[in-house]
Amino acid sequence: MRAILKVRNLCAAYGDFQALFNVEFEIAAGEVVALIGANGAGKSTLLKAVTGLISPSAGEIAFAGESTSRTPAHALVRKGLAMVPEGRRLFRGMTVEDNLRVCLDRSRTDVEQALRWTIPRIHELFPVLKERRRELVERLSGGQQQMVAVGRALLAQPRLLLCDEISLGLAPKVVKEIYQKLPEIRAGGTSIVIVEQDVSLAKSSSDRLYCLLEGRVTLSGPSCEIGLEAISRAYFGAHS
Amino acid sequence: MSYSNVIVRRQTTSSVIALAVSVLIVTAIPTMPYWASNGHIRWVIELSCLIAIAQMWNLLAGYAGLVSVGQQAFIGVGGYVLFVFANNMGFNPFWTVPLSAFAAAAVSIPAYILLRRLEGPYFAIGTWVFAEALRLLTANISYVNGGSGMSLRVMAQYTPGQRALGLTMMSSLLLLLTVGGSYVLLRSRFGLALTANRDEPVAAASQGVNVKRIRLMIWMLAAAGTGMAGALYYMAQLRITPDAGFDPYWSSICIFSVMVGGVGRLEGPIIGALLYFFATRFFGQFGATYLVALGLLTLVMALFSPGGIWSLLSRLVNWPWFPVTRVVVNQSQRAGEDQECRSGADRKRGFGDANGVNGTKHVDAASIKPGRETYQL
Repeated sequence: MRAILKVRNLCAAYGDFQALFNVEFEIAAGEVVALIGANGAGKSTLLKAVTGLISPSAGEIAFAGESTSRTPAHALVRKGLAMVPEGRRLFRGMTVEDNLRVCLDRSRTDVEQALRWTIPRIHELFPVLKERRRELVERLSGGQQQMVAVGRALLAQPRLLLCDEISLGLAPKVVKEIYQKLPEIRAGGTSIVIVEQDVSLAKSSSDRLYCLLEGRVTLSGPSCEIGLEAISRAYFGAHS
Repeated sequence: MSYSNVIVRRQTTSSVIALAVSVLIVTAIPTMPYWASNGHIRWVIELSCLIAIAQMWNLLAGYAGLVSVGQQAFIGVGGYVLFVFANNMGFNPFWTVPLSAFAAAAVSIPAYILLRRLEGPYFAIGTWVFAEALRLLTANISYVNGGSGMSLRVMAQYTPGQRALGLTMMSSLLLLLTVGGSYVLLRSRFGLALTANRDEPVAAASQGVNVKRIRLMIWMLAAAGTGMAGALYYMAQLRITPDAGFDPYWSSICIFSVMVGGVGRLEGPIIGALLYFFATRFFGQFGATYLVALGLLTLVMALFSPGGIWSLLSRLVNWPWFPVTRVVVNQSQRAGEDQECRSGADRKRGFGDANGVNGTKHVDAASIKPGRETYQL
């Protein structure tokens, strides 16, 4: 299958602290890939580098066949790369509707009308957002806020959606409800990367998974073929 | 529910009244030479300048997250451009006032290139250094008479009535462009991106908002408005010196007006500028004591009411003057939803409670008139 994102020998650092070491990462079109690892493993740094929020110190990132190592975040959104940031980062003080509208003018225009994500389609995906569209986002529950964050990212018409810990701080029922929507999102041809602390959830929701430890990829392969024991070794660094 | 015909409500009763009063004020100011005393005309000109520079600083700090303590750079540039173009080059001084706005915006570009990599306090200090550099530079240029300053001799060719008419017309234009312009800007889609950038710059960038371009645009707009205010102020004074034009006290006025009035709301700088203006008029005689009192007031507001006086007022009565939000309502369900929003919790909902320093984007539906625009989803 054609790769939508290729990351080769990626290194990234925050000042003197190197967070990523020669990371190799690849996602095919329409694929769901999970990125797992303990806190500080480099998952969020990898997403930030891919989305242009930080500049890699070395290595190559190619999105849809085009080098994007130095492309700024806002330009990548127009190319079809959107992110649901960790902690949701909604625009407080704005209504649900306004949060969604921020992205509308800045999305790709090369998407077929039928496949386009529109606000009514987001309301179909998450009906509760339709009911609460006039309310300030801070008045919504954590789960509903996460739905706004996912909806907002989808309105960028992404070819690749990066979800950074969307289950963080949410009740299991709400997490399940959000994860149930992933196949629907994927059905439109959107590839998805999920960064997840819950290994079982990550494994069951993805086609392939990557495990990061201290800035290095310690395990990768089809999710259905990787056992929990192998994940445990890669996750905690018990090399054997 | 069909989304092809959705009404966007953008006004409240209070905002319609505020808009009407604003139009009345902007229209009445140019007529002042026919009915007001010279003293009152000078008050209005000075107040217009204070409101304008405070509003511009509010755009910078309240929406773009750029805290500048060097706004006096643009006051001075605006003033000096007026004096040089009118005195030395023979331009019509009244037409040069808007031209000063463009000059200040042009000067702001190299300043931004120098300062753009700085964040927070470093950016603030950088703006102050830039303004000081301009002051020193101006004081050493003989073409503008160095440190001795310049007098606007060209104004002698106009009668007092003509001068008053020109100044009041420029005051109206200044208010229209700075306050009215900010209102229109913040209600546009650009305003939505601007607010997003203020609240969550990282999230805004990852949703396609070009944060750097937005910051540059706001920086330039604020410089333009401040420069125009500087030109108008010194046109009324008829004299400018580097020490006066580039005086850091201008930035103190901006900070006081916005911090005390309310940052991140259009109403805040107006209230703050009014407070500063009248406090200066009535208590200025107490000198240093009065300045200490103003400083303490700023401190108290920053500590106990970061949303400023406007936020406190809004907790008492939710009557926004210049709301910049949109409320989307389906026509067929409008009546029912309005009823729903009149329920207890919503009626009690004051935006000061919900938003603190950032102000609100919520408009209580109970006080909203039906809008006329159709929002195509």
